Amino acid sequence: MYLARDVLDKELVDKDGHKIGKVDDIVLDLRGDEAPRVRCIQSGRGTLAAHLGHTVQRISCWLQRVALGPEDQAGPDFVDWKHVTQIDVVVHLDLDREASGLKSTEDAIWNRWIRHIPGAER
Amino acid sequence: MGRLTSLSLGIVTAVGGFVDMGELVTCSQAGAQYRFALLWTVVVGTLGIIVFADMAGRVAIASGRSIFDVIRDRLGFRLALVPLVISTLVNVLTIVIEICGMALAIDILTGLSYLWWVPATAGLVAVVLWFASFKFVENVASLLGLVILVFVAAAVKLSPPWGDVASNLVLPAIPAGQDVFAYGFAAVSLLGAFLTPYEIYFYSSGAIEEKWTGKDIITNRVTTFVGFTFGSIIVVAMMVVAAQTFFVHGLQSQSFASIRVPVVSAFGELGLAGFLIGAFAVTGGAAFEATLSTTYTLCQYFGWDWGQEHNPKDAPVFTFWYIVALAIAVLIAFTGIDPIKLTIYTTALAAFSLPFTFVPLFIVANDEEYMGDMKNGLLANLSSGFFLAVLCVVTVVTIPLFILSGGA
Repeated sequence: MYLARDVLDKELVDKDGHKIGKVDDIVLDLRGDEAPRVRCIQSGRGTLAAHLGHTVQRISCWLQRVALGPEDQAGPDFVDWKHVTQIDVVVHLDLDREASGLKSTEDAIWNRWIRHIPGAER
Repeated sequence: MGRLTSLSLGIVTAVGGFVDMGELVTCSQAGAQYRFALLWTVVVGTLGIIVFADMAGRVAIASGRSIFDVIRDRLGFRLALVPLVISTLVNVLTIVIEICGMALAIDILTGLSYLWWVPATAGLVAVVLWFASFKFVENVASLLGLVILVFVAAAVKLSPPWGDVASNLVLPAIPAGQDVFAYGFAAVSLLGAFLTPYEIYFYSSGAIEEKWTGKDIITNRVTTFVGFTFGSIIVVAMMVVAAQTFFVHGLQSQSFASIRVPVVSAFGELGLAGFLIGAFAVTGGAAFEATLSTTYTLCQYFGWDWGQEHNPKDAPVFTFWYIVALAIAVLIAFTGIDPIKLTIYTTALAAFSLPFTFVPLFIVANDEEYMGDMKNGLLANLSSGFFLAVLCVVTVVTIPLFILSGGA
């Protein structure tokens, strides 16, 4: 398996089949002469923008502030590699979406905007 | 029965997608200006969209993944950002022209400027998306959209020289005395109108919303072929009636109101009613599709849960983006930009943008890991390779033609 080809940029799917994000980055443990080990998957919240230079990063931060509110300062979401159960056209996790910790953007958008619209809680 | 239901996906994509504000405007202008001389673009555009949609449907069936999901997986997030940005721009501009199209139809009916109606039409799209299921949107738009067949009835009534129509469908010809650059730009705009990218995103995502499986591979082929061929007949009729009404009298079709003239001259008040209902329905159907396509592509790229079948609570970001897209579209319309000119520019931009999604789709359709035994065969590769070459030429010539023709 090649991390960049087979894991990076794939959809993350929880144990019930819900789409819960993308593999935006992979965090490796580097210990001396040992082979690097995958520690966790990083997803959302400026992870991609961090690779695209200062201007894109500033625009991304501004958009995040407008969409999620100035009080929402959370950074990217992380999920431990031990929760990965299978990798095919998507990356399967053994967690449900609530427990995955990958729903922070969806929750913030829901709380700030969508739940105030009549008929949202149906 | 399930198969028949699935067929409606192709029909609505054809009526609400293949026939929309882009066609209403570009076909009317093309028929008025060039008579039948641009009919060949319908054949090229229809075959192109059939090949394109068939491939997108097959990728969705084989992998269960939608178009932007696989584009990002295969190209990586940096490269995939290029089609994402261009597609989102074209999608949002498409929403603008479609909600303006709906508003212009009400403008004719009420006499009150279309700008007053733009927030109402955008609001209608938002409310229906908020409450209705994917199936409901699909079926209502497709049934109401059938009224646009009034153009086909008008074409028969106006009895054009069918021999000339047939020969112009297969033989490109530049009419004598016409500016070749303006003709070229009109051809590019028509191709962009026929091959608008949102049709493909909607079709691919719709196949997943409808949970197509390997058994649907035949449905996919039949829907793309029947649906888009059906759409193309309406489009030919639109160009033919404009030619019979405007060209023969040396007139132009420069406004939305003038598009109705052929059907009104054929059927009077009844024709006007048919035009208004049909135009409202096809632009409305296309507004739904373009709005959904905007949020589909963003969610598929960034990995947020998406689907018109979800409640807002299950897919809040998906809901958020379609509301934002509609709000931005209303603001753009409120700048007062001429919706007819914007339609021409949007279809030209759509034509320019096509290879940016076609190329990655072509790569994925040849990827054994994703496609298994449904990957492109020789025939699919030859046909899609041919259209890919055509689209690349279109991309290269769009901007020079725009400049040389003075924006047509």
